Amino acid sequence: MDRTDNEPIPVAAPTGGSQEGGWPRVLSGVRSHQGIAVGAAIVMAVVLVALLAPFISPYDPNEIHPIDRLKGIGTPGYLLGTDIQGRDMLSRLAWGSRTSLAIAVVPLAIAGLIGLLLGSFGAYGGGVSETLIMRGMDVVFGLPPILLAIAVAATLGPGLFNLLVSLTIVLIPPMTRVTAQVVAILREQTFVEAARASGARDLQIIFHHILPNSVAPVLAYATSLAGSMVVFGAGISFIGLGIQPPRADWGRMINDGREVLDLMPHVSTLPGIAIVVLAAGFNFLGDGLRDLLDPRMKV
Amino acid sequence: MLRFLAWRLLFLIPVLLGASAVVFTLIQLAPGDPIDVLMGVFASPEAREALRAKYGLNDPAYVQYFRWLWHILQGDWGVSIQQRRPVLPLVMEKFWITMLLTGAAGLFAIVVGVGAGVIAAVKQNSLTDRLILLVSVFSLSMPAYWLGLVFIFLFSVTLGWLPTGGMRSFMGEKSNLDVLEHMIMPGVVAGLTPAAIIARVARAAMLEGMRLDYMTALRAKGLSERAVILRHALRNALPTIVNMTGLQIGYLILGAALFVEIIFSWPGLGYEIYKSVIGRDMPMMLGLVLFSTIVFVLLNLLVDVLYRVINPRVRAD
Amino acid sequence: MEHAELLRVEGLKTWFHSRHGVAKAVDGIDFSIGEGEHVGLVGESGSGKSVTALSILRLVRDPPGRIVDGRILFEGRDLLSLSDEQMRRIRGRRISMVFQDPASHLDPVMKVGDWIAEAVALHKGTNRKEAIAEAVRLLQVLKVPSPRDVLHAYPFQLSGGMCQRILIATAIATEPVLIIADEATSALDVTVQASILRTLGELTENIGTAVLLTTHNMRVVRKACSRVMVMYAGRVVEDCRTEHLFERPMHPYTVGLLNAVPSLDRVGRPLIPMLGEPPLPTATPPGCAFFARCPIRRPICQEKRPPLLEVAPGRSSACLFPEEAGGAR
Repeated sequence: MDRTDNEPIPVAAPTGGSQEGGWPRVLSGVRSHQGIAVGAAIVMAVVLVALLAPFISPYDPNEIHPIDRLKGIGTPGYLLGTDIQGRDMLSRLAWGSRTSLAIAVVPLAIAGLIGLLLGSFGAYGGGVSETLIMRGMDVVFGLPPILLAIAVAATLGPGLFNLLVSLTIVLIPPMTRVTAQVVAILREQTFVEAARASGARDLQIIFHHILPNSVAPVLAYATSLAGSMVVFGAGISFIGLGIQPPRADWGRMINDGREVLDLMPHVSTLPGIAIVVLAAGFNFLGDGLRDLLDPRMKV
Repeated sequence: MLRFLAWRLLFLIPVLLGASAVVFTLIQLAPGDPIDVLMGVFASPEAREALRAKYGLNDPAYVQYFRWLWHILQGDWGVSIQQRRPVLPLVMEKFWITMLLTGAAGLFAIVVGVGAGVIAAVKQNSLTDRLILLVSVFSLSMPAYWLGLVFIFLFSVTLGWLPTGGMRSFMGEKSNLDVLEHMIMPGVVAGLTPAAIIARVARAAMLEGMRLDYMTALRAKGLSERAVILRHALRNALPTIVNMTGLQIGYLILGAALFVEIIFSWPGLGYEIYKSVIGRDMPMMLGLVLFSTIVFVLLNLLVDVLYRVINPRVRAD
Repeated sequence: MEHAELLRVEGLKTWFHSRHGVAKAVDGIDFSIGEGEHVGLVGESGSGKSVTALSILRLVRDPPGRIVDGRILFEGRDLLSLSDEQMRRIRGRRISMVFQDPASHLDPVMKVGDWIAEAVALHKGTNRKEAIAEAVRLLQVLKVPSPRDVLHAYPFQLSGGMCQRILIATAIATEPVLIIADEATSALDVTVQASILRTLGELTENIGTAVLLTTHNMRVVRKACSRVMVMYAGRVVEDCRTEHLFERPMHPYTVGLLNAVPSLDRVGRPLIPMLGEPPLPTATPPGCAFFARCPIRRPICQEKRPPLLEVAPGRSSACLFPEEAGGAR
């Protein structure tokens, strides 16, 4: 093993023998709390928008106003302007938040659950079962993840459901791998040893000790992927798979605005900003949670 | 080392078999009956059945798989429906074009990513550090397909500095300088996300190393801060950085670059995948996916080997 | 004193700033070292001896640590007033350092030969080949068997004792006038300890290098040092020739230390552990820092911190009642 792993244990109050005080750790703690606060605020705001979409939206998101096509930001009646078909941008952005949130949360939740089970059973046993599951993941998912998702989405055909399925498939191997890594650390912990010594059966240990303790770090890891899922899920819709018109989707909207980029850049720009904001929210939240909860993270 | 290499090469076989099986499954799941394509919907059931038997479509799936695999191994990757040309040579041609873009993006990502990561680590917790971290989070959250549009709007449409897309100008110059000019924007846009990830990894790896005792010993030897950071701390962080960089470049060639190629009409693998998706050209798309997978797997192998070569601690095990 | 003065530390304060307050790891320490003199700095872990050692070379990490006051006079110059570049030229050239836990003080991905050669090339301006040849010679001096093989090894392939020899070779390579050995033998086996100490002693004797050896181990001091300074809560509390310290300690803390370690001249007598804990470095009392644990304390000791004063020819103590200190022994 790396000798560099044998770092001195940081102490709360620096003493003569140790140069490494509590200082850097304290600061990083502060930073992760800040990150969590900012990230959570952004994500909650988007969730609120998604829930209140019917009330926020001045119009039906698919309602076409042929006379008011390509209105700029601030046009009376259309706060954020209209797109090429004269649909209200604000309404479409508000409704679009629903699909983006679904893309961020649903595949990760399902893949996380599957990964949690596969990973904990695989890694708890160690040895052969661990190798089998982990190598199996490597073998089947030797494909680059983005391409796999696009290939699956192309094969299954367009639609929100198929998009969610393809993203879930892609997420299973990383979620399994992370769970296995966390469990590999947990199974060596003294409380697990103690449970084993007191005669608990493996299944009991997995359900009472391993699973509950892996949930937090795995959740943190999942959150840190949610931002990329928002970006990537919208990307699949952007290239014409995934969400189909006329349903409002941020990725689709960017594509819709491409033709009028030189005339009315806001049609592409606004949904892009929406994606950046939501993804950044998830990334802040995920980074903070990982610093706090993930035993594999040391810095 | 040789043992490791042998093991790793041996392990390629199941990985590639598995990956090809996934691709084959996708072909099977793809909508549309190949018989319809060959005979039209109105052929008689008997004729259809005869053709099915002829092409072995009634055989069990695994027989069909190995037959398909045999064709693949012989270089028969099918024919593109849209372009009516064999898939494999087409894919090879596109591959090099994508590699060119990946090279540019990778270079940008490594220089900017490692640079920013090292600076952030050296100035840990300072304003610079926080700024770099902030920029990296936003770079990670930025869809390349959107940033590409913003860049085109800014630098091509508004300022007129750079071409909007493609690989060469339509008229006039055929120089490499022309290609280079076309490469700048897509290279930067494609390299931004990997740069952000590399920066974070480099920062973490540097900090991890800079906490260690031997840093004090180096300074006690009288080394300058520059030598301590660049010759020792960075050298120690290198295996981790190389590992992540390799992975990122893998993702880049075979995924992230896809969106960038679409936006900038860069005629590589990604753009081709996009066209085959739009045109429902399944043989072409799956050929592209299979080829990309092989490249991905080989690249991962290369990174693993490189990691060992530059990390004496692992090498000795 | 028989040695000409080489290093003089006056009122040095190195403080650490943390969320929990200011930890005064070194809090006004005074001492000096003569040319070629071997001096021990003894104390419990946390007494501030390592921070003192690092402070001399200005290697305390900032943040969290910072030298807030004092002077470190070396060859007539105050090290604290030098520029970073001037300081860098003293490190490794005039003053070298050897560390506790040698394996972790070597670059894990650098061959140890290159580690030594790096210092040689830096300070002697030789090329790499000459530097490696010099490294071989140094290891031969250190009686390392098959030095060429050792030089091609990485630190993790070598034993702790061998790693320490590498650090020592690096330290003496430039023939410095002072070597600071910070707990240099603490992480090693007792047998290896003895051989390392002997080697270090012989080598420095030959080239006339002074040694400041920090340790928590009284036996190490007795073996390797002609003079010893006892450190407690960031200050020197007793300073005298080694044999005098063992014969007749003049600070109750020294007495406690001696009573707590086994030694040959105390065979058959029980070990007496010292009661209580040293004060937290974040909350040093205004009076004598040893007050809470002292068997001979009086109310006056609480008033102000007793200074380190000469109490007999060639020996100093920071106890107001040095004559009574030995009584508990």
